[in-house]
Amino acid sequence: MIKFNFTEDVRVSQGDILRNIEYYESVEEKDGLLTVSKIVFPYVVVLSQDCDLQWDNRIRDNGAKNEDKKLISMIVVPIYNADHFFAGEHLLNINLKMRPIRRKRTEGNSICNNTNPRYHYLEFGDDIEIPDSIMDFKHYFTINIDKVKKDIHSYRVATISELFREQISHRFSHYLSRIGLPEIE
Amino acid sequence: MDKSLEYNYQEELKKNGKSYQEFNISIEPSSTEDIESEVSNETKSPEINFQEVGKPKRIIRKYKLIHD
Repeated sequence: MIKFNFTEDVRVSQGDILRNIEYYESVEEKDGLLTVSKIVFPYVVVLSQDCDLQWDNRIRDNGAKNEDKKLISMIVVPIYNADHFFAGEHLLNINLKMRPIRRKRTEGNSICNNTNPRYHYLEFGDDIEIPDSIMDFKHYFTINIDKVKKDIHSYRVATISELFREQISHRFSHYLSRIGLPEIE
Repeated sequence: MDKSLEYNYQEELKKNGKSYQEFNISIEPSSTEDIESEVSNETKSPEINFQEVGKPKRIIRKYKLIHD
């Protein structure tokens, strides 16, 4: 079970769970027609460092002699309904068929126990609208801070509590820094 | 639409003497067939399938460029 809280804080924080976040895949102009393609993720978790977000917010709200610590964007990782994930169907609506994984077998257990480096299992309990979910660190992307900050109370569902969010951040950075070795023939 | 995105495109188009407006299928019957065939099923089907709730979805919007 993960611990979270509901906050009225006006700034974006690491561990914020945001709803209905849009990722713009492409914007193309052809023959006088502008085509915009985006993916709407039901939920994402903010994983940018909290001190970075704090400094960025301070500059946005109060200004500064220079904007050395202002961010361009922030890192988020989508979370998927665990039932959809294990069925391999969580990305069907964006035309991606994923591999089904048996929850009660070895691989499923390692995901639920957070020993698979790519995923983080989140058990929320009944006090929040979100079902048990899985973060896929491979699917991280960045979003515009201003857009979220302007309407933070609509976007934010809850905030994952300290230590729990630090554990996620640590596992995420570990996953990103992995070294892929070539196969030796 | 993302306001920042809209702003950038408006600025870019202005430099070329252009502007754009959102193409609304329901009030632009002259080109409906062509446009509708290019729009994904996700944007055309408002019916709620509760098995699909909670899954990421792709949305494709088209905007017609208008020359000033």
